[in-house]
Amino acid sequence: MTSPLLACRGLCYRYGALQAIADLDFDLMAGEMHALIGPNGAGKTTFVNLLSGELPPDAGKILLDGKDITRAPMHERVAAGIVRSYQIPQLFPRLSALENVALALPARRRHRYVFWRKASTDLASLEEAEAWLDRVGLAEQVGLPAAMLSHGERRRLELAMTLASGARLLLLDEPLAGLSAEESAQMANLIAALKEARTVLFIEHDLDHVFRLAHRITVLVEGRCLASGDPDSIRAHREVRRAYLGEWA
Amino acid sequence: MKRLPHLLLPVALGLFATTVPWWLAWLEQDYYLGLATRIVIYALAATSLNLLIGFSGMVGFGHAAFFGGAAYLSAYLTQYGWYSAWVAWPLSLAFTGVLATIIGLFSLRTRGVHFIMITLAFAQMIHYAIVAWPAAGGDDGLPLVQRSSLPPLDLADDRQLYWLALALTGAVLLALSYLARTPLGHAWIGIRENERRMAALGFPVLPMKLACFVVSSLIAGLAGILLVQQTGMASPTHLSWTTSGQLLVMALIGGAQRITGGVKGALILLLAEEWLAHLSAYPHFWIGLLLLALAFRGELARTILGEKGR
Ligand SMILES: Nc1ncnc2c1ncn2[C@@H]1O[C@H](COP(=O)(O)OP(=O)(O)O)[C@@H](O)[C@H]1O
Ligand SMILES: [Mg+2]
Repeated sequence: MTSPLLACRGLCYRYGALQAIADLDFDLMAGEMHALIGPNGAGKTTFVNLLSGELPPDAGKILLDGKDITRAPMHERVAAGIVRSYQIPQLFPRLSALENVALALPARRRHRYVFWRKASTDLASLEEAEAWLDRVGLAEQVGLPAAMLSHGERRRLELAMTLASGARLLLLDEPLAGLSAEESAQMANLIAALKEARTVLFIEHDLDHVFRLAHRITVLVEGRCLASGDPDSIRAHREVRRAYLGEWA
Repeated sequence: MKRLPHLLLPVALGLFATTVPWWLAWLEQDYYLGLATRIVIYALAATSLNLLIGFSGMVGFGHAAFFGGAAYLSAYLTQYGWYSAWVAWPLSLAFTGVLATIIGLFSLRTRGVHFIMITLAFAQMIHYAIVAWPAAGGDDGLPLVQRSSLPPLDLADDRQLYWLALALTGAVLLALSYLARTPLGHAWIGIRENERRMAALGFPVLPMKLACFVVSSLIAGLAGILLVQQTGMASPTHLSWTTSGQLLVMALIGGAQRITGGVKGALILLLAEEWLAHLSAYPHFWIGLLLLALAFRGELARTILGEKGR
């Protein structure tokens, strides 16, 4: 058996009196498309915050490739290949779509202290950023400030930035939230196209998309893992059906 | 060829500013050369805040510490015969840089109002520490024994001091407008626009903000050093929170996020001060009114003209 790319052991996080993540164990295999589902307030975003380093866990361990990254700052995790996206798109509102993506490129991270030559001389980076925008269908919006984009376009820009970061492990927090049926289908296709190339943990409520996209599904309820397994076993899981799927079925 | 009109205004202004000493001589108003020098120096000091606010979105309310700190140290060094600018100025700047690093490490963990308050608190501490220090002359301030020697220039000549200040201010403005287009400038602007996202994209936000803070402080320090050359005195006012406030007002009224904002602000404020001091016994009342008008100019235009404004 191969060892997981990402592993969590006994992860805990509380907001004051509220135990948002409770003694969570979790494994993510390389190349896997893993869906995280659960009712609102289950702790899904909090979990992503712990994995990306935005919040420090109260207890437990996070291992990437067997290396302990529990206390590693965010930029070290990005350098190690973990990048997240946000449930509410976090963009640079007054910068162009192109510049939003360009800032996400590994080249910009590496050259962050370069003050002696203009960013515009790095044509390869600009082309790369444009290619990512093209990939998510924003080729026409390259020059528009992010603030002028529609909700659906912002979501796609958010994804383009996450992809452009070059991360091997993507944490996508509700990439389909607030999209129309048609836009959701497009976005789901973009995510499906990442299979094999990247390891993905994504949060999603629409079970049709979840069952179609995911290799494996973890059900989170009140900060605990209720069930984890392939789509068929989750569909068949009695407790999940009763406690959770029932709400939608 | 779209860039041409773009360049026209700065080039014309630069030419005018360079020739000011001759205009004043021609008008037999050499007295105003001192004012012109102060405007240029305050423009440089205010520009340091435009860098801080415009690039990484931090509103510093303690820049008097760097402005005055460098001013005091450069004056202090002349007491011991350190007249060479090549030695005394870099030393004063190095001190400012160390001070800014320490203050930055503490204050950059906070944002918004907290950042404003903590930079103010540090500046006040430095103000009182220096004024309480006997060697710094207390409330009287510290006189400059003589202007620095900076061959081949002769800074004892008021015109040469003016030109030096102008050249340094111009160089800083050009450097900053270039910086805005470099990867570092883009990263700082990213931090201003969305710090959280920059962290999520793998930028070590804190050290990058510290770098911006230190560079900004060095510019303020350079302005302080130049001011002492002009006034012949490092005074507690240079360290006072009113100086921090004045610099902030200059940076803000000229347009905080514009690189040239501080230049505009220093011109408006210092010229208004000079002019109103002649007109009225209460210049500060009128300056206050002017600031209000500038702060609410959008609103004001709408109220008076009944337009939608902007
Ligand atoms: N910053 C916060 N402060 C206090 N409570 C929070 C905070 N963020 C989230 N919570 C609470 O933690 C629980 C988990 O939230 P979250 O991780 O956002 O859930 P999900 O993403 O699954 O909807 C919820 O009950 C939520 O109200
Ligand atoms: Mg959430």
